[in-house]
Amino acid sequence: MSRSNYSDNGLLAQLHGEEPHRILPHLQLARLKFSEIVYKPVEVITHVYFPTTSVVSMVRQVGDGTFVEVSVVGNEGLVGLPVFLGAKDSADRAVVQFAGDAWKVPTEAIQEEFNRAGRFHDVVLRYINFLLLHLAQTASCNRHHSGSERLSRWLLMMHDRVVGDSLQMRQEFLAWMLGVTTGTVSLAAIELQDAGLIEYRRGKIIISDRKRLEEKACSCYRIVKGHFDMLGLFSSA
Amino acid sequence: MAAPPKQRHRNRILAALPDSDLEQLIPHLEPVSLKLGQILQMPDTRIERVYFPTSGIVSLLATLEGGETVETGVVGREGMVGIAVVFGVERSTIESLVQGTGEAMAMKSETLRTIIKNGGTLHDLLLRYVHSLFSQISQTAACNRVHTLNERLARWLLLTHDRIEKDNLELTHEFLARMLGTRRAGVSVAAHSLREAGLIDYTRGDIEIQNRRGLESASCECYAIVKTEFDRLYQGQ
Repeated sequence: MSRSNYSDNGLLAQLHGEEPHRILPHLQLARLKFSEIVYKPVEVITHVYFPTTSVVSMVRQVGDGTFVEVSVVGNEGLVGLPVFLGAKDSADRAVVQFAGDAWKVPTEAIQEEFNRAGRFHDVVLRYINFLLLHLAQTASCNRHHSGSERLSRWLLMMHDRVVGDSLQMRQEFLAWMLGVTTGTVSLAAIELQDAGLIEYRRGKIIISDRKRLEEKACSCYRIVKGHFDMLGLFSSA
Repeated sequence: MAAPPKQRHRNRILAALPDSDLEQLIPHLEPVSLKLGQILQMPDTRIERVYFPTSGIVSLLATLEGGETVETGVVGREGMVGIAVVFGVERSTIESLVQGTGEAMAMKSETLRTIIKNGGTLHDLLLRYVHSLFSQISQTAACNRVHTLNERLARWLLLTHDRIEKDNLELTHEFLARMLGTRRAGVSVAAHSLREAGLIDYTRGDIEIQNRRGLESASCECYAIVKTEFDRLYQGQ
């Protein structure tokens, strides 16, 4: 009953004409576990993942033990972008941020469809454009906005991509996501909790007042969401 | 009027094209000069032309609602300005600003769109370039979060030095503050400490690179990571 349909992923939902007949036979449902690594830097990307209920973070390592999240992929996107850009691997680490399902496709099969330069190709390119704007916004946000603004933004991005109000969370993970120390994360989370926006418990965060969380978040949330809505992924073509 | 071939080949994307593909492009390329401070693309306006720089350097800026900016990436003769056109969209939120005088080959966006519509060598080269641009922007997003201003200033000067190909950079501290997403006073302190270490010298509106190796040691690893990614792009040429 909880089984994902291929159209639960926004990019796959855009397939039309002969495309589903060519692509669907290659799809396999994968269950992604919390904190599982989908791919690592310089590891050949053998499969591309199209999340349905899972969320995957793209994380950069800077220095020895510091990681910073640079983008988030949920049911609007795909994990394994470099294979469409003539590369075999990525400098990013793809880490499962929220456990759930994803459709898994062998790299060669999906590249073949992309190379036909048809609708799927164009949909992927539009998604790349969205991701580029998302990245650029994050580069600026990371520079200028406070910990609690960025935490609010991040929680909203997650909330948009998962079912329910409860987000499974590990504090050190959250620190990576925001590129700060675990101490800073705690302070920011406590600030949001005291204001009644979230409930911060061991291992999870519950969104209690989404509307006010939106007010607390920096404008980057709304801006990236605007680009996202313009993609029109879940509207029927 | 067709451009002189030698100059044309200084752009590495154009240089990587087979002769027959390049010949097809020549009638559509127009040599233009890039003037310091010139805005090639304003955010949210239609992208009329794309630019293949043959010298000089262009900054990709992300501006926040409060007017704060930060540079998310740079484009020199390894790339193309107006990458959104490749994704089939007409406008972008990113501003493209000339930060080092030079020259470029300009082409109508519509022409590029038609040429790459059905794939082909230029299409594939541009996507490979997008991969390294993504990598650069991701690294910048992480770097902006965790590295000190001294490290980031050194990184920025090195990336610029690579593209300007001379030791004197026409720059004010105000301009650097915009690029690095900080206050002018902060830039002055950082520049002063690089000067004390004998790495650079500066007068009003001009920075001279005096010890490039020293600057490489003073920079965070982000410089080397971005450089390696770009070098990989054109390996074997």
